[in-house]
Amino acid sequence: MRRTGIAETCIGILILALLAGITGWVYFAQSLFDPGFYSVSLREEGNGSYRKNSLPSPGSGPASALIPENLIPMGPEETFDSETLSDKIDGKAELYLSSGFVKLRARRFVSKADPKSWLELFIYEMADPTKAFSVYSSQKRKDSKPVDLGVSAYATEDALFFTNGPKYFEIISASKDLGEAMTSLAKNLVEAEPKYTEQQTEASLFPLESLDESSISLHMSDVFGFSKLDRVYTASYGVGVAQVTAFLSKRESAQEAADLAAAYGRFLLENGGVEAGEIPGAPDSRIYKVFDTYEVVLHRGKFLAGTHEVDNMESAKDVASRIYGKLEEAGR
Amino acid sequence: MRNISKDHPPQWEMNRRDFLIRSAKAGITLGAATAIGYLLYDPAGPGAPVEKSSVALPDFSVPEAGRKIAIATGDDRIKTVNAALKALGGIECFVKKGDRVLIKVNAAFATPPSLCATTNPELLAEVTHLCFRAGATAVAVTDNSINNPESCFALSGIGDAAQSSGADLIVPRESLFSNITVPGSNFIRNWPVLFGAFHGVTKLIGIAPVKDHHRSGASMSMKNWYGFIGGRRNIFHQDIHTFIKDLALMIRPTLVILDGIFAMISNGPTGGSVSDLKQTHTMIVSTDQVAADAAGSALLGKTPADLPFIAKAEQAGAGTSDFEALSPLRVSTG
Repeated sequence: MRRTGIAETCIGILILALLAGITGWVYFAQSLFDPGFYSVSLREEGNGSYRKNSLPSPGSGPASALIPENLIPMGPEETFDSETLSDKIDGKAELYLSSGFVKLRARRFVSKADPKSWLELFIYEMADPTKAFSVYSSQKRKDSKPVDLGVSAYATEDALFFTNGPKYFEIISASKDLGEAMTSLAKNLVEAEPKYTEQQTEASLFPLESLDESSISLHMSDVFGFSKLDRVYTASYGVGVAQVTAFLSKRESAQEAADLAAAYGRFLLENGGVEAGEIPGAPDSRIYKVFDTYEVVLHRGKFLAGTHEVDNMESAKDVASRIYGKLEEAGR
Repeated sequence: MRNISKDHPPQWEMNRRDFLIRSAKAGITLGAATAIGYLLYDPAGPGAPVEKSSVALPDFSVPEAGRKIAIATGDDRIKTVNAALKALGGIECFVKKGDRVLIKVNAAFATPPSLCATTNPELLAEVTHLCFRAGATAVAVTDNSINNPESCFALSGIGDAAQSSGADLIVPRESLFSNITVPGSNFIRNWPVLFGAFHGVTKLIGIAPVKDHHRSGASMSMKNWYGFIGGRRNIFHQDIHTFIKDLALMIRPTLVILDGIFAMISNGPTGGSVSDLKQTHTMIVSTDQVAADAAGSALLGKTPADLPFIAKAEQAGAGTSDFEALSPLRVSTG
């Protein structure tokens, strides 16, 4: 074997020493993990009660003409962007941030007659009317009552919620005595802006018979636990004593609707479902029995539709076949 | 036989023996490097040494009290909290003469008490009175709220309740925060905490409402300690369950009081309407924060298994999720 020269040996030892040094440094450095390092601005912004709420922005709040006479502002308007939204609503920020949130404006008003009666107006500006409807409908309270504002709206005993175009509004009161003031403020806000009445075009394809119109909701992602299912409207039907949840989603193409229906069907089969036939006269439909409930999945043109987790197979078929018929009509 | 030119040095050629020796050496080197890498691999990730210079929070638990839980049912917060404390032997078992008590409320939002997004002011006032009656020389109330602290304390009614019952209200300010590192924690390392509020404190009581939480699934006793954290703490929402476990490691309270007379079952943690509430008629008082949250999960229609932070806190040694093993003292106020 050829013997190595002294120079070669020295260079080899030097390289090995360098590599050993790098290894030691990496080992040492990884033990110094500091989460603060990843919050670059932490030190600049202070360690303590860091809040980046916007500065008051006088003049940018609702015009004084929109404020009912019996209310006066408690303070300036606050504004929040996507970076600061959690400074206002904490963990619920994720709901908005994942749905095209742009900006939040909030302001409190107090009753002239009773300083203990106050309300807070939240105006969420979203990327488009669909996303605004999504955050509106996904938070819909049970036992609420519809409010006639000419847009999607409902009220509870201490709050009023509505959406108009790309904006979602909440009026939350500290007192149950401010119902009239809330309604009046809401009407003024709706009238001050163009009305968007076309925002629920897809939802209008739900057959009206036995439909609970106030139940219509839009879900943006991970619908029914299936990651590929997004932008889905749901609605509740009362069929006899049975409650049926129907769903409807418009896709980019008929092929996408068919592929998604097949993929969702496979998802059901992989999760304990078995095929249980199809709807008579609807060749693009499949019925699945998933444990003790029935799921109908169908597609027609660009639409994917069906019923979800229905206890009674006949009720599921009834609603699904009516949706199929409605989609056929719409396709003509 | 090869011809070797005099103009060129003889070329060394590897024979079979050399090849085997070199291959063996290379194999040993690779094997040794792999073995060293395997031995040094830390599946738990990087660990920061506890900084000797950083401050640490004391243990406020009362060892002789042991791990206990009482679950009182009824519609009245005052009656149920008194009944639960009585079942545990009375507040005198936890607060002694001369104690200085810190009460950590949830004053996260500037919302009215009716929404139950914050600690109920009447409940706070009653617990403050009980501490004074037990001989406490001082009671302080604090929270590093999410919204502006002054607005939160004023509009939630907590500020008035604290002051009318004789407690001091500690409004967070920059000078009260110090960086601390919690041993065994993944995230609370050299991070600002409302340490100044603990100055001279000998007992710590947490009072939290039971709430749905969009990110963590629930906000109860352990999540309530989030209000001791400073800095840009919303970054911890990315791994909220691990962070709540860290909070449970950071705080060893004297007592936690979990108010489930009403539970916010939807649209939490802010809510927005009384329609988000459900009357669940339950007040939980415990020396074990993990057990309290495990018991509280049922009020939200969940099980402890639905809330990963409970298992994480239990595994970290902060308490037990098997609250039934503590033989809960169940009382009804009718």
